[in-house]
Amino acid sequence: MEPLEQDFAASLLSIFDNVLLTEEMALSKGYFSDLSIAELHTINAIGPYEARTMTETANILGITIGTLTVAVDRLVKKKYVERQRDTKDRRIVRISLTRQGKLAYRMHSKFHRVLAKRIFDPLNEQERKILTKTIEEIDSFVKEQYKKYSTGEQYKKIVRDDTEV
Amino acid sequence: MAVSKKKASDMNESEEKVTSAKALSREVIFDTLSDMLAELLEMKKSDFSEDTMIFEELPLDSLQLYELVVDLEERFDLQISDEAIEKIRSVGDVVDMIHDAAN
Repeated sequence: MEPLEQDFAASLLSIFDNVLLTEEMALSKGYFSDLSIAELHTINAIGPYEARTMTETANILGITIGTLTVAVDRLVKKKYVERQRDTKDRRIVRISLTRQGKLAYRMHSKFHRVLAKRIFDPLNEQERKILTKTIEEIDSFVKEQYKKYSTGEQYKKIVRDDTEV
Repeated sequence: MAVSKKKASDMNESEEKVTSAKALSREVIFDTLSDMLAELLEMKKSDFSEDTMIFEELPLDSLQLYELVVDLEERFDLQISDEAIEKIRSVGDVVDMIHDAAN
């Protein structure tokens, strides 16, 4: 591997690790210290507005309904999520964020916006476009790799670990 | 659109809401907003004017800002984007934002 490639690979790995670590740190020291990263990602997938079905949310997260049910049970208990049965079809369960859930969603998206702003600020328009395109390409590549290996087991493990705490 | 009215299908009829922001004047919006700020910040309603600078003059932290946003969305059936929040400077800006979204 060329030295430049080595530096790039090291930086990439460092970003993966540090973004997650920082998110966890911010969570544990912030207003929502009772939430795990996996739970926050579930909150993000549910979104702040329209109630979603369990199937829609499971598809967004790439997990099974069974796995999502465990995560949602915990979030309902912690009062971040509420469940409602569809008024027309009682078999359909919809989930939505409570006021507390919406606040966690907003605070978490602020974390991402601050990060993006900090990276974008010193760049001009052309540099921003190049960086965004490059990051999108990296994202697509990683997603392709993930699809090859993933059966949802990784997320299952995170939720299971949370449950066991 | 940075601030948009919720779709009618999203509305929960059983909840008490200001159902027609369109019919509301700036004065009514300001009055409701002052009530919400007073409760949130444990201040007097008379402490606020449209010229009050939200971040410079009020002890509003980031969580309280989002509490206000989430409550405004609920009260006026709006969706307020992060971009719209970033443009807010004064209490009057919030009144404008709600008023414009309804018209």
